[in-house]
Amino acid sequence: MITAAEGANLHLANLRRRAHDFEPLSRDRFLAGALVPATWYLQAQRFRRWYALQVAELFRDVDAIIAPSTPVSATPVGVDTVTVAGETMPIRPNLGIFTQPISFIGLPVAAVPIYRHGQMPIGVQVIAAPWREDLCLRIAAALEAAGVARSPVAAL
Amino acid sequence: MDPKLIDEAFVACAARGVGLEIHPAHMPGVVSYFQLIAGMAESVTSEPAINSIKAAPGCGSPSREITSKRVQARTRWKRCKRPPVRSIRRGGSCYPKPHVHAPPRR
Repeated sequence: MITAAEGANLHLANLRRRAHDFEPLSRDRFLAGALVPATWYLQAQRFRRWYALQVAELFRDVDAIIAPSTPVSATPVGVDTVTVAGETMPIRPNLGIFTQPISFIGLPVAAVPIYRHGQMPIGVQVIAAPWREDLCLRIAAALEAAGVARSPVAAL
Repeated sequence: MDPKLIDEAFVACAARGVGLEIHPAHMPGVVSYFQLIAGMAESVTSEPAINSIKAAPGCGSPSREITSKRVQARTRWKRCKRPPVRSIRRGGSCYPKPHVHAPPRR
């Protein structure tokens, strides 16, 4: 809601003049965002603050959190849906489902690809407390040094 | 607001209010997104604890203060077991008064 409203505000002049030039999914999202009432936007910001404070509490007991980055590994080009736990869902709005709850409260994250021989890598995010980017990078480096995380360049 | 109440007529009317004319070909997608947003609005207004937050500022990027060399030096220590002794004001952040532990004394 917040990004839709802010994105719409940023692009409002062009949405009025030449909405048809936008990428269709982005255009529809921006147009919808332009209609968001101020009270919804402010309540979403209030929620963001509240949620950020809840998550900050977690870091009283732990240094970092490791969580999946995406619900699936990279999908083939041109595929629009994916099935997770028997449920088929559109890829685009669901790829960020695990990262958006972290990024929208501004926590530092290092996303590391966990290499699986013969398979596509899976993304894992190392999440740290506010302003502790150093921890994210140290943990990511340790995972890379241990051979758990790596992203070899494909031979073309 | 119940997302089911949102239809093309509602969206067209709201769009005119902000000076937008939505092309008929774009309307289904816009209605779909706006219903999604309305569902989110329902979620963020239904939790009473959220309303305990009085101010609702956004999360800006770190201020110059927090990225200054002085503050970087202050936070470049290893994890400290002592209770927080100092806080740094970080304007524009989600975290209004985060505590910063002092570096261990040598």
